[in-house]
Amino acid sequence: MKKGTHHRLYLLLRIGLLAWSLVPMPASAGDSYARQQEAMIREIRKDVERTVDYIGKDRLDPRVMEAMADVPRHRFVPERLRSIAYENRPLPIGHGQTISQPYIVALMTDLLHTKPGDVVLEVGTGSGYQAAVLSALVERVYTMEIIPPLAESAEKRLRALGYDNVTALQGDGYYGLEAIAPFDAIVVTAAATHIPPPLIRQLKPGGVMIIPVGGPFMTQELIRLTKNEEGQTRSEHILPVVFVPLTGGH
Amino acid sequence: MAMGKTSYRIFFLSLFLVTGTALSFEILLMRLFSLVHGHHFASMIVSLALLGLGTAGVVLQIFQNRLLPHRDRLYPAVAFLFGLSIVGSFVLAQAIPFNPREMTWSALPWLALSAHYLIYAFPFFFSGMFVALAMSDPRFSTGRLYRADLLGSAAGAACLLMVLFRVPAHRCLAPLGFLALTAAVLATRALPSRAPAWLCAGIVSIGAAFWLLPASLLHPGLSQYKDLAVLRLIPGTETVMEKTTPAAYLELVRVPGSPLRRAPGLAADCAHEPPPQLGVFTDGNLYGTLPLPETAEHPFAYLSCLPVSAVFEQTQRSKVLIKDVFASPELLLGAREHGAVDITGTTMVVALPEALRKALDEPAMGFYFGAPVRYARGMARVVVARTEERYDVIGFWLRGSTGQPVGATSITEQFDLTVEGLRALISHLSDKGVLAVSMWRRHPPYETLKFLATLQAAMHGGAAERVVILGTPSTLTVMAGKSPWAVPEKRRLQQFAASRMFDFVTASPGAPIPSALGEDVRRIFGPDAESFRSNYKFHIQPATDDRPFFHRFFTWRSAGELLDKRTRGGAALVQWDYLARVAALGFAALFGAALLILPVALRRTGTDELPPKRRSILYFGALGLGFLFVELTFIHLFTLFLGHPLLSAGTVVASFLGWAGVGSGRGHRYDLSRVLLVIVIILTLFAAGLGRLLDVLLCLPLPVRTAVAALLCGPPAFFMGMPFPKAMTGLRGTHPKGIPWAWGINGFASVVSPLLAVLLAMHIGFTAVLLLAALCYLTAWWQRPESVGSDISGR
Repeated sequence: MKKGTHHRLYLLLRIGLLAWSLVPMPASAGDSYARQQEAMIREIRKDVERTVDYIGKDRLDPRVMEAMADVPRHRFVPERLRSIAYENRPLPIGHGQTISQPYIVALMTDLLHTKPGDVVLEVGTGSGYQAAVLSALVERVYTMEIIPPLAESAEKRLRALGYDNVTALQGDGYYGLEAIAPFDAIVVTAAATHIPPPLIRQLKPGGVMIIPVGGPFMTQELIRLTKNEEGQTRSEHILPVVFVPLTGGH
Repeated sequence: MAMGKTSYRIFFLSLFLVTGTALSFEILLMRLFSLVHGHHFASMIVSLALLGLGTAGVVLQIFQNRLLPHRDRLYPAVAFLFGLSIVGSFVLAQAIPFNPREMTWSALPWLALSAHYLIYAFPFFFSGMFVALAMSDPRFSTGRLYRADLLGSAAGAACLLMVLFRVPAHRCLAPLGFLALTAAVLATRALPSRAPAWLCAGIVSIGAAFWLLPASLLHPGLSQYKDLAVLRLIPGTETVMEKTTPAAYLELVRVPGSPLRRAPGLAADCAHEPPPQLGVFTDGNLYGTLPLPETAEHPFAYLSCLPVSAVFEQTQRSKVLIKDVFASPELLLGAREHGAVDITGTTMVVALPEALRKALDEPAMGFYFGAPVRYARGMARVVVARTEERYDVIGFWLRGSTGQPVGATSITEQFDLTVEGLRALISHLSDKGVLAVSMWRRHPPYETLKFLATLQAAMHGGAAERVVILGTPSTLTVMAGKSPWAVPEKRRLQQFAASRMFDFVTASPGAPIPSALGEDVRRIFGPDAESFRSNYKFHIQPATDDRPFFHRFFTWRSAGELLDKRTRGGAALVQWDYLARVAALGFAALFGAALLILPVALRRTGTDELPPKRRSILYFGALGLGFLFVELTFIHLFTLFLGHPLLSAGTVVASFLGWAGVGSGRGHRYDLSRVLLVIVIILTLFAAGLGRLLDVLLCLPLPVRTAVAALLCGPPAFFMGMPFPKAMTGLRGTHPKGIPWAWGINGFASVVSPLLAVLLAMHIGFTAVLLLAALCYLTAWWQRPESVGSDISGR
């Protein structure tokens, strides 16, 4: 048998094993969420080490990892999906939206380089998970969601879980929050066709924006935009991702 | 029992309705799959239809002793079940959620896809059983049966395509179910054991009740992940216009509170916001937008912040052609703003310009309709093939690959994005003309590199001096001149880029390399281009008419590495749509083996009662593979010729059935050995010249092209209709117990063949697939039944 044929058979076998691994296995009774969360953190650490070429570092900010270990992700997913809440994968949260993969949440949070006194804007609240992770790292988080039922449920969830430094608002994130701006960091967790100029204007000099840019429902590019003290911006590609669109088709 | 003339005619009308409804349902499924999942899945639907038909043949062959005595009762029964299953299969499949976007993370969508495959095969099983019963009925002449079969199929395909202009696809399900039940009533009235009137009335009532089913049950619904479904969650979203066409369900949508603001590549420091836009949706997917003027003085000031404006700001551009114009309205508006005197916009959605003209408000109307803007329907290369015009700019937005298993730009044939397609466009540029193509910027930039490789091949070399690229954080705009850029022109473009903080990339030898992209671009045009392309982790070889799958980037070489990176941000790089096709082939093989081969293999039949297994496997398997290789190749090649996959599928499937039916009816006049050799010769000739012939005839009007397509199916299909029935007739005489084997093997090969054909075409091209089909028929000639007979007699 030729080498190429061996290679293909090997690949098909791997795809088969992958397919098997994709079958959702409910957590056993003794498997606590805490244990699953620890496993998720280990998984993220491993993934970070293996993506050193993309992200330029082999470990994320320990504060970010602590926040990831503290936030109960299972409270941010639909009840029927709680058993797989800590798997390193995105999950549907209804209304065509998803809660991002934990690795991506950790990476985007790390890329923001937040400090304890910062004020951060998040565009695309979704279930509120990203805002909850940020709340442990900064002074205040403003988060905006355009879809009314999602905004409402996220606001209730964040309040119930005691994330008091998070303000959840319903509205079009394209225009940011002029009344509160400028922000030390802005994180957009929905895809846009371009970087919205109003958001660039609302970024403080020295601030960082993380945004996935590209067409809806296709591979987007995660971009980090930094604004220097003179107000000039610079952008760099981090990695390809898939996000649901910044609703409103921006 | 003998049948009267009227009963005879009524029965044939019943058969006509069953076969017509079956083909209509097959084409309707392609439309419904497009609507629900964004892809017509033509090869999978042909495969599942053949699974149903083949299984019916096998079941009848195995249980003929039990079934045939009850033939007269079975006719109406299977027609009745056919009608029920048309509606039932759709309702059942809808109840099994299939979200292709979860294929990356869960096994459930893969299982759901296989369930859909199996469920939709049921209606074809029942229609196949009706036809198989008729074919084995000594009361009917085979010739007349074939005539009713082919007329029904052709009429079904034609009627459905016409009806889809007026009626949404999902509303065709109830009428099709009703037609099948009408066939059941006709069958029972035609045959001697006619059912009582009350039973017929009951069947008709059930058919009528299909219309009364709750709308939600027969509505495909909009996946919550489709663009429009998400947009509708925003309060105030309103549909301004909606229209049904065979190709797409069109909607024009306004979102007053949070307007659409599509502006790919907008400069980060732009002082102007994109204006509000109306969304143009096809089947719930955002197809394009129409920016609306905000102020009379500067209606579209944001255009100066877009990279495409570089095309118009440097030089006067009078004549402009925009491919897929509603996907890149900024090109149209830019051309207007800069004084173009003749703007032609092409669109594949033929009904769109007229529908928009009626729906738009007065202020916006002037920008999109009336001089200097006009619209041309069809693929851009077909439009330019019919004119002698030369354009100063030909531009378009390269609709990117979703990477998802389905979607408007998953791996389908794209004949405008092939070497031949781009060459056709470039040949219609004026001496100073520019081909301007914008696309998303990816990392790694495999899509851009594949486009540049295709462009390089289309330009016959010298592209390095003729191509410049403007890069923004999110987009790349490739500008390829008909002639090399002059130094002052290049300098002006560079200044334009610098003033907006865009990257400026050129492949000219000696020019500075500003980025990794610049390095890649330099290599794609450099002397080591072939080795660069071959060793790249994605498939970036130029797309050609023979392999028109521009959006195929998958390579088995790097699949393992990318799958490993799945959880580490690499999921977006795995081309799941390719893997979904491989999986569909797996389902087809699995179900085909279980339903077509296993039942036959499990029968207790003496070895001496069967023809030699190797020979029958080779003969009937080769026929199954060969026939569908040819049919699928024709469907794909005629997509360019006829302009739309649905029209191509309808024309080719109906023509093949028709010609093959005529051929099988005349088969007794021809010698099998010669027929098989004639097929080999015809297929070899078609492989050598069909593409070129279609290219020459591309300038003909569409109705003429449709007729030509139907005629071109004739030579191969006429002869390809003969070998199977001729061999079956032979088997009936020598090894009657081998007939189920023949059905099973041929059915299995036919089921896997359509899916295999397209996968093979991605790698080796459609010409090679046609040659493989010729090889199949050569194998069949080598193993033809005369040899089988002589083997047996010698034993």
